[in-house]
Amino acid sequence: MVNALFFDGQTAADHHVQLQMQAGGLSFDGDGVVQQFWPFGALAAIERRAAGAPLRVASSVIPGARLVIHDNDFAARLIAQAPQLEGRTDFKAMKSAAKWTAGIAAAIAVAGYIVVQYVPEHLAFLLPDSWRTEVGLRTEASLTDGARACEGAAGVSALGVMAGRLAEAEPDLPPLKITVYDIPVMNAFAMPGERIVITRELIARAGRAEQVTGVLAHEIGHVLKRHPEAGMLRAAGLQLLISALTGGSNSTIGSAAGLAAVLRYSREAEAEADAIAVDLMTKSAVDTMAFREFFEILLKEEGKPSTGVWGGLDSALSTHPGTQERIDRIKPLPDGVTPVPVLTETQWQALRDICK
Amino acid sequence: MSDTTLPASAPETLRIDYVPRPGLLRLTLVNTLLWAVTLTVYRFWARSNVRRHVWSSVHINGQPLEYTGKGSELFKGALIVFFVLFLPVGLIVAGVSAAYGPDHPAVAALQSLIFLVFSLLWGAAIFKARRYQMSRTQWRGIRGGLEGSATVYSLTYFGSLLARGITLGWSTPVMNVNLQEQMTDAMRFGDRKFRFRGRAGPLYPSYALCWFLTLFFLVAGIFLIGWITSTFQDGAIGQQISDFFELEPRSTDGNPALGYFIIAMGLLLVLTYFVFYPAVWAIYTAREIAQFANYTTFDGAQFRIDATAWSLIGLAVGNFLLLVFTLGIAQPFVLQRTVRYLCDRMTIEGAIDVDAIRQSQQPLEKTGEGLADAFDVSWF
Repeated sequence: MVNALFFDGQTAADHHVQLQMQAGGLSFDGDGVVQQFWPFGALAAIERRAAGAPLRVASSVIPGARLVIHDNDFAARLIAQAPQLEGRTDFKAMKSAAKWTAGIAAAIAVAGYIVVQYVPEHLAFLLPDSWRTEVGLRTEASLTDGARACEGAAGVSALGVMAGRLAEAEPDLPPLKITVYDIPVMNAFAMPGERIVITRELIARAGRAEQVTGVLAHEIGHVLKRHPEAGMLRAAGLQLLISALTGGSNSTIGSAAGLAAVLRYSREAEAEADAIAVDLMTKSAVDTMAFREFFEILLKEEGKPSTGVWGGLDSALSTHPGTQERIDRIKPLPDGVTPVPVLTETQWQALRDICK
Repeated sequence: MSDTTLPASAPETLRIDYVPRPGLLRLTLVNTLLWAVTLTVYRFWARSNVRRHVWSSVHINGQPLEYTGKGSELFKGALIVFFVLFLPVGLIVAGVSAAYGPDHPAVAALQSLIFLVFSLLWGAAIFKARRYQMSRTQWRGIRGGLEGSATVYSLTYFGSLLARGITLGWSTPVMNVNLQEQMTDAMRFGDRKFRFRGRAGPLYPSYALCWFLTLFFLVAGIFLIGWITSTFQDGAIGQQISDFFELEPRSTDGNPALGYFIIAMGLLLVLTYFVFYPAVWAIYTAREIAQFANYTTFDGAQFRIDATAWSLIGLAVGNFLLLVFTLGIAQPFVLQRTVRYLCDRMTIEGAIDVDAIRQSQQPLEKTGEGLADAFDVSWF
């Protein structure tokens, strides 16, 4: 029998009690305390025990009540009976944390799936046109920051002919806003609101009009599937998710690099756009092999570091990974379909000179 | 009965000691690791563990404080605030700026409105966090509490922000006394109340001293910059200053003086923010802490805190260096230093009948500090 201090959780008075180890638990009484029995399993340590400090014990029998045991020998014997009192590692807290972490991980996975996969693809088709127009305008202004829109009249009209040719195959194609910008990086991208941007460099590198037509058809594929809208929704959702995780509400998709990242679609989206491009070209009797040629130009570009102001843009029309796969999937025009040139030599020249 | 039995209900004087326990470093490292592994979600549990450690080092008459809060409670509180407040607000702002463009006046108006709402909630965040911490602090099996209204406190807090702006700071002592009175009078330990009675008058001499010292440093700083600039270029100080404020479009290449001016200005700003301003205001803060303690009683016992400007500066500099050189990882040690500072300098005069204190009857809230976490109202 040893002395200990007991706080009953009702008043701040300390009660001197006599402790006794019994089969299955701890019993004590004394100084205004009627006989108590705390089973070993119901005991919990308040804190990790420091050397020389008394053992402080709580019990689920009386929430809030505390036993303070100064007798080291008794404490050691008690810990032998109720090892959880050692307080070495707070497994209970860790279990709780682990449970919550697992729960959160599951919730994040579900939320992530909804945010990344499910919602953007569907919501993209429900967005009001005014919103898409507005966002597309601003995205274009931001991505082409400061660059000159090329407006050579003959070139613009040649571009119209090119788009018109593809539109013949797709009666449901909404009106497109296609602009060539004087940007020295080879690129093309689609934005919300049926906007498509092609860079001067891309046209300059293309060997013939059909190659540019292939790229345009690919971007039209993105437009038809509303990939840019979905990408933006996805980014916004991800941002929300991250801010929910970290408790912060910082960083916005403002920078061109950020936007470019948003416009970097998944492989499935690229494959989808490629398939639409080949389909459009086939229906309009445009040589699909030109699209393949363009990919081969891109392949040669790979590995070159991107630098300068437009470095961030460079990856928007990313060829990694699987360019070869994409090339292999492009089928030639079926037998019996003779390719018809898209532009006359004069028109093609005008398009090449659109920025002059 | 053994001879250790004391007569029941004898008033006793209270003595506060900080008795450091080993293990804070280990706790800090484990917390940091788990914080990274769980993508910061562990922060709620980490904060609870650190409080448990630091609280248990505070001994009053030989019995340690006990922190009974749980990480899951903090986490749930933060989740609620996120879904009730931040998610809807975030969606509305995103929607409006997407619809009208980020530069549209509607977006600015909305942001001002949100700023206003958050300012109104700030005091409530502080009050509710204090309520949670009081209710999770236990000594001799008895827990603390905070009664009173978070709404009234929050409105007072908002009013104090407005008044401070309007009076160029001179309302600060009055409003701080008001806020402290509301907070202290709402505080309980078991069934006993804390009381705060006092006026702001005695705070004004040191407030005035700090205010005018600040003004002096500001003016001196401007002249110092002018002097530095003029040393590197012909022309009067006044000319330099007026040149700057007229904002003539000059490039720093063409005018070396402007370059020096900008460097000097930047240096002065850094010095002002991190050195002069806190150092000067430590005089007032020390006075306020000591005076607020003098105004505070618990069940007839009188608090004293021997706070001085130099010791506060020492505390702040140490804490600052700790945080800077460990990239914030040493936060638990900052908490420990701060609590230890208060324990070492706090005395309680007069005797209290400790044994007669009964348990608090205030119901325990199940979640904690959601707003305070979101707003990063982080004193403890």
